[in-house]
Order: sequence, then structure tokens, then C-alpha cells
Amino acid sequence: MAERILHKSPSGSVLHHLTDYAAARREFNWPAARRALVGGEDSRLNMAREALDRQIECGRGSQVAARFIDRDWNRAEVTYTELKGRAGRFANVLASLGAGRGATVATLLGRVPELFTVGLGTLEAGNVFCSLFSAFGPEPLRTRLELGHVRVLVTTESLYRRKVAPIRNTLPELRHVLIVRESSGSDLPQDTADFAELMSGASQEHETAPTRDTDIALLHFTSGTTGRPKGVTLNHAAVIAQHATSRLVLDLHPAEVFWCTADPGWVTGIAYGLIGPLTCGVTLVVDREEFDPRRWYRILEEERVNVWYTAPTAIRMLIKAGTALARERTFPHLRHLASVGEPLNAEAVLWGVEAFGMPFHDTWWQTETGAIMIANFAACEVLPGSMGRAVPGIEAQLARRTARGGLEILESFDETGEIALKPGWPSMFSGYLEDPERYQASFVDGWYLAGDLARRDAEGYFWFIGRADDVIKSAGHLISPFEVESTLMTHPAVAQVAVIGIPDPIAGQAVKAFIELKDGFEPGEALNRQIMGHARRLLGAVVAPREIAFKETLPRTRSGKLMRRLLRARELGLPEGDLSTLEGRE
Amino acid sequence: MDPDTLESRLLSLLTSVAPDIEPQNLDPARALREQVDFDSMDTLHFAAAVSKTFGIDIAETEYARLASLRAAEAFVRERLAAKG
Repeated sequence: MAERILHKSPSGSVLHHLTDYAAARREFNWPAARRALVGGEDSRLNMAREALDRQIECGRGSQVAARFIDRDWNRAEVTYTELKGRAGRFANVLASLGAGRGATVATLLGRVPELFTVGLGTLEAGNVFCSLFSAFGPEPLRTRLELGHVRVLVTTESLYRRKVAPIRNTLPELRHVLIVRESSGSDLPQDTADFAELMSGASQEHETAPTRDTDIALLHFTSGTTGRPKGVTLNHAAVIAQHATSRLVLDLHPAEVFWCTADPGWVTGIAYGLIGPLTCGVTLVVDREEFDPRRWYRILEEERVNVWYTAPTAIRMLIKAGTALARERTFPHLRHLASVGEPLNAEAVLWGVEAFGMPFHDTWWQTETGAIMIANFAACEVLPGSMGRAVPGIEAQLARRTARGGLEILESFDETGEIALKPGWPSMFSGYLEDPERYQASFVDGWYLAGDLARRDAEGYFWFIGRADDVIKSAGHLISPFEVESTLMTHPAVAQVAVIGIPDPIAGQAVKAFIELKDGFEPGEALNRQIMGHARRLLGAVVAPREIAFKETLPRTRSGKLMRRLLRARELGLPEGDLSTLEGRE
Repeated sequence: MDPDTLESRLLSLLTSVAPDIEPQNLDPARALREQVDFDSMDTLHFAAAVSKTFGIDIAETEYARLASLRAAEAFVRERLAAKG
């Protein structure tokens, strides 16, 4: 299946954590991974303890844990000991606010130091940490703050004024809003408190809550095809898998410099932008700015990044900017490149060799799995375009749902099936908030079904095919067509709407909406802009449609269900498939 | 070219990419990203629209010069002058 195989020669400077894939799979087991992490049989387990206290105990207290770079290239560093102190202070702030163990604390922040303080402090206190995507508009935020029963929110003044203030009165459970000031002197918005002031009044001495493996640590929101967003919960035990994969897949070693470009509003930004790498004792580079090719190359060079974890959309934008730009810099410290978020095409994998002298290593996982499940490894050959092989400790198969509601595990190679994972790994999600039925429905015959379709070759390499449902993946963000449709329906001109993902050379997929107008409204440029503006204001630029098309009627089944599949087939010129259920008038 | 016209043409391209922008609330000297939701895909589309409308080439590395309305105006004027 692979046209090219990239072989590896033995690495010179660093001994990889995983050198022999078959042996690693044979020898790895989770109980041993847990013991190695916590240093014995301790029944307590806390993500913040592993990320901070354990590192300080190992003598890394004075090492820089994170280096933040702002727009003007000012660098702010925080050591493990300092970060521990800040986390302790915030844990004490939570206690003073009466937000007891278990209460959910959310952030609506960019990549700022306060995000680290709040995240780790919340975990240390035994509360649930939920990092929200700061590009969401007020509507997705309202849904998530409400569904998450968020008690405390930490955000900036401008994000608060733009996105939270308009919906605050609909959120009675949101008791405390703490503002990270961007400039001094101005008055804080009503019903908010000054984050820095509360912090300075709190002690940094705090004893880590005695949480256990099964206590909820993180709440991440992800999107499904229908209904509300899914509130995925991960337990403190997830740190075992996040640590193991930070070693085995990202190949992180203590004191190395690691840069994960993911936004903290998504699971990667927390699992591998914060927790996993800190448990490996690395120094994190955190760029506060958005993507910019010249800036990124400068960071890779000047910060002496050793391992880089980024995303296909960014890689494709770098390719577009031209390899010559990469040549303006040298990267003698860089030794491993990995990618996540959507399938990485073979050209992008190989471009890594052209620009950096090494390929990108694709990895696959999702919010529900809590850690990387399938990967290309630093020491193993890379098959460009392949997702890689199952991580040690993970049993991954391809499966097909049977008509009777059971599951057929595919035995032969090169058949397309849905990725199925055998439960038992410690970062598997522990639930969908307030939706036990949906959680149950994710498991069939004792397997977790991921909703992604793939093939597998004789060597065990997986090859991504597509989603089994209608969920849209744009620039690494999972977008629910239902959530976009629901918001478009609130525009007075919209009668019916169907939203699909169309191919986009940079973002992978882009959101496109097909709209049936109410009587009395004329399709045209002005209305198009008006509806798009409406969607962007409520949903945010990342989620709102990039394109709108007006239709006389939308294809539906006789039972009235939107046939997004047919719209997509027509849009892409694909076979239209079975139309027996199509309603006559279309 | 009359500067008022250039600014209003850029503004029209901007609002075609991001129709949620309210021109009366936009500070032309401040970065767009600091004022409205304007992500990297928006920047890409805005650059493509500017390139097409004014017939100028814009490299990916020059996108930073479109960060604010005022900056974009200066950039386009410079490119048009170079074109002659």
C-alpha cells in the first residue's frame, strides 16, 4: 500500500524510549506503567502531583517548566517550583471562594501563564478543569458553560465583555468570574473579581487533594453529529497514558525543549501542551501568538526546540509559504516531529524531510481516548500517509457493526472498517456529561467504537479513510453540523438548513451551509453576508460557515431527515448512492 | 488613487470575508485579531481577495502586513506604486 517507506538509521544523540516496536508491545502493561509513574503502589493519583511535585522531588525544581513568548518576543519563564507555588495559591483561592472538590473550573484564555496556573491549581485542589476554546462565540460558550455546570470561570476582560457578559444572566450556576487583566487601571466589569488580587492574597502552601484514579480531572467538549456538544470526562488515571505516550510516541526526555502548538481549548493543548510533557520533566515553549511562518521558524531555532508536535493545517500553511523560508534558519537541536488533528497526507510527511531533514510522524487519537492510540514512532520506519501502528498497551482493531446490533472484527487486511479499541487503557473517557445513553452507545460487544474509518495493512499500519458520521473536521477542530444548523435556524430568513464539510486545501475541510429561505426572502449577496455575519457573531469564526449556498429545497428522507450525505456527494461529484428513501419533491 | 476609496474597498473585502465586522466599530490602526474574531483562515481569504481585486501578488510571509486596516492600506498602496 505504501509507495515509499522512510527507513531510520540509529539515532546518534538520544536513546529513544521505544526502539523495538514488537518488544515494546510485548513487554508493556498498564499496572507497571502506573507504578513507574507514581513510584510504587500509592493508591492516590493526581495529575498535578505528577506534573509538579514529582518533578521537584526528582531535582528539577529550578528547571524552567514553561517559557512563554509574547508578540514582541518578550520571554517569561516559570520554573517547576514557581509553578507549583502558583498552582498552590490558586488551589487556595478556590477554597476561599467555596468552590469545593469536584466543582468545575473553566478557563477562557489563550496560551498565557495563568492558564497553566489555573489548570494545575484546579487539578491539585481536586476540582474538575475545563479549558474552553477562546475563539468560540457566545452561543457555543453558553451551551458548554451550562452543560458543564461551571462554577468558576477565569478569562480576560476583553473576552469577558465580548463573549460572556451577553450570556451571563442565563448562567445561574456560574458564581465566580475571575478576570486576568490585560492592562492596569481600568474598572473591572460588574460581578467579576481580579484574578491577580485574589492570587496575591492567597498562600502558596497547599496540600494536593488525595484524588484517586477514578476521580474526574478534566472536562473537554467535543462535537457529535446531533444534539448537544459532548462533555467528555477524563479521570486522573489519564495521566498514566498521557505520560506513557509522551515518552513512547513523542519521545520526550527530561530537560528537553518541547513545543506543542495546539490551542489549550482542545484536548491536545492540555494532554500534550501541559500535563504529559511536564510529567516527563521537559521545558515547554509556549507561543502566545497565532500562526505565522517566519515567527514559527524563528521559535524552532532560537528556543532550541528538540521535539515539535503540530498539526496538518499548520504544516500545509508552512509548505505554502515555501521551503526557502525554512532555509533562512537552522535547526540543529530539532530531532523529532509529530503531527495530530487530522490525517497527515504523504506529501506533508515528506516535506518534513525537505525542510527539517526528518519526516513528520502522524499520530491518531481523539478526546474520548484521552491519549495517543495509534502512531508512527521516532525509531521506526515511517510509511508516509499512514496513521501508524497501535501504541503499546492499546489493542486496536477494525470492525463493522452488524445488522443485529453486534460487532464483526475484520480479520483480513485492506478492508475498510471502523476503528475499535479494547477498553482497559487508563485514559479512556469515563463518561459523557449527563448523557449515559450516548456513552453506552459508544461501546459495542466490549469495544469502544471511534467513529473513524480506516484500513490496515499486513504490518499493522492503519490508513485513514474518513469519518463514519457527518462530523466536520476543519483546521483540526471537530465541528458539529447540528450545532451550526441550529444557530443558522435562529436567523429570521432561514427556513431549513443543512451543513456539510467540503474539501479545503489548507484546513482539510471547510464548513458549507445549504439554506432554504422562508417565503418573502430573496437569495442574494446581501442576505448571504447578513446570515454569515449572524453565524460568525454567535458561533465564532472557526465554527461558522465559510460558504453559504441557497437552495429551493434540501434533500430529505421521507421521514424528514436531512440527507447531508447526498448534498456532499453532489457537491463533490461523487456517486449519489442509495436514494430509495429520498423524499419525492427534491 | 483616492485614499478614501482604497480604504472603503478594503473594508468591503474585509466584510465579505467576515460579515460580522461592523465598520463603524473598527479601529483601523489596531490589529483585526484584537478587535474581532478573525482567524488564520480568514487572513488567508482576505489576502486572496486583496490579491485578486488589486492584481498584486501577496506571499504568505507578507500576511502580517494585512494585520490592521491601516497596515493593509499602506501595503496595497506600496505594491500598486511599485507596479507603476
